[in-house]
Amino acid sequence: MIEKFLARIEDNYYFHMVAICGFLSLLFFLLLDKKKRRDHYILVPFLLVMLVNFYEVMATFMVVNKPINEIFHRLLTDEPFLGWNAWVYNIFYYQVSKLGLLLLIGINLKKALSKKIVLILGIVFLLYCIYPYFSKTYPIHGIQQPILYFLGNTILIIASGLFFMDLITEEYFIEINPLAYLPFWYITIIMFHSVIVFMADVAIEYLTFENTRVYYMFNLVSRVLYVILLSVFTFLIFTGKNFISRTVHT
Amino acid sequence: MMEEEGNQIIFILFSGAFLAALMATFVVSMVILHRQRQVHNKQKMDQIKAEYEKTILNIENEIQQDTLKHIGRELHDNIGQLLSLSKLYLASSKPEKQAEGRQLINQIITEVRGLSKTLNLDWVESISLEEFISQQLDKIKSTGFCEVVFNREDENWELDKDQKLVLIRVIQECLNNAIKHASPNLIKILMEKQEGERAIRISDDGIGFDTSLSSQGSGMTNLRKRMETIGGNFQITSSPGQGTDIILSLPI
Repeated sequence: MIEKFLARIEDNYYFHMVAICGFLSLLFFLLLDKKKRRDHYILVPFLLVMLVNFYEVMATFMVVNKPINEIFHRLLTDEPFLGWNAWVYNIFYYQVSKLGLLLLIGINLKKALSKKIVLILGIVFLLYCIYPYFSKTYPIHGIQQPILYFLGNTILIIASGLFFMDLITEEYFIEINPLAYLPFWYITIIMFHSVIVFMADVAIEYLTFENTRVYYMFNLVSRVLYVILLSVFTFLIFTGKNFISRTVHT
Repeated sequence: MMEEEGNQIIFILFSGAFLAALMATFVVSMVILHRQRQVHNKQKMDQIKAEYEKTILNIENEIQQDTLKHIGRELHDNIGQLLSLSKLYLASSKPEKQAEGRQLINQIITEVRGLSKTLNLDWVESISLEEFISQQLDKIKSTGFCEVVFNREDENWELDKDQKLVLIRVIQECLNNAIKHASPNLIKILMEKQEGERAIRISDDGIGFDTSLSSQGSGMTNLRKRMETIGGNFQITSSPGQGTDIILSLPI
């Protein structure tokens, strides 16, 4: 089993990069003092790095260990088991991680109205995520969930837009150099990622079966951006603060 | 078929590049807007700082001019008299008069030392606001102009020099206005700490005035501006025949 798993990830450079970020993040996080570990500006990015590591390992494991995959599949649906691991990504990437990223953007907002909008977006998205489990409208084990993918990216684009609005209007940001402010960079990457993969995610079913070259191209772009995002998170955990400069901001 | 797929990929690549360029433009615009806001804010801060410094300088000048007037009066009415008297005593052949003359000289030295201390503004730092108000009210009372009441807390307020300077000047101005225009029987000053702020309440039972009248407005506007310079507030309530009530408040 382990040989199969290792063979599966051997040429997967994205997996290697994610694992490196995960290992370094864990190391730097453990080296931080307790107060900083509890700081949500550090804790949320750390949990997101761990989440990506978790679902990437799980997704690969589900491909090499079909019996366990089938057990999970049976828990989620009565439809025939095809050996796919799409449900791992549907739950952890398209639902949990999108909510996590939304939370991360939310904690960086300063305007009360912006925070409220993000909270409402989060609740709407969460309700929509829970709905298919009970209604069986969209099978969670498949890739036919265009509305879920559309909503996931839309909430992140709106939340990122709200952050930029805050950046140019709020008093808190007036003394801050955005180029030395790590949340500015990771929210920019989140927005880039969401915008670029928006159409590809919505049309994932078509691309997967009809145009695999385009699918792989978007997949590559998405992976590159995600590695950059995880690297920024790792750097943030390493520095233990939101700023690249030595100046201490509170 | 291959050609069609190739075209599709080129189209998607161009679309992606266009989208990326659009996003990059958006982010760069945000950074530029933020920078512009920073520059604008810096200019505003510089302007506020310049106004603040100008106000403090004006107040220092006014206090110094008042001090010079006071010194002039003291030299003429007090020290001048004492010197003339000591000259007479010292010129006397009687030893007891000469001794009195020497005593007067010692008194003059003390008076001159006291006056020299008021020449610069160091006294502002050495005196507490409570002591200053107490001195001012004592002066008014000693002239027999009206009765005074001063209610204060046990502890002295901790204020920085500029805040104290502005408050001293504003309180002086309020008391001067009461003496010049209100003809009160009682002037009352109350110092208290309220929720999140400190307040000085100056009230008199004089003739009062209509606060909406423009002739009175400029002086009050000046006092209000001065209080705002140190982050405080100036509030006035008055009407003809009902006395005047002024509240100077400062955040803690």
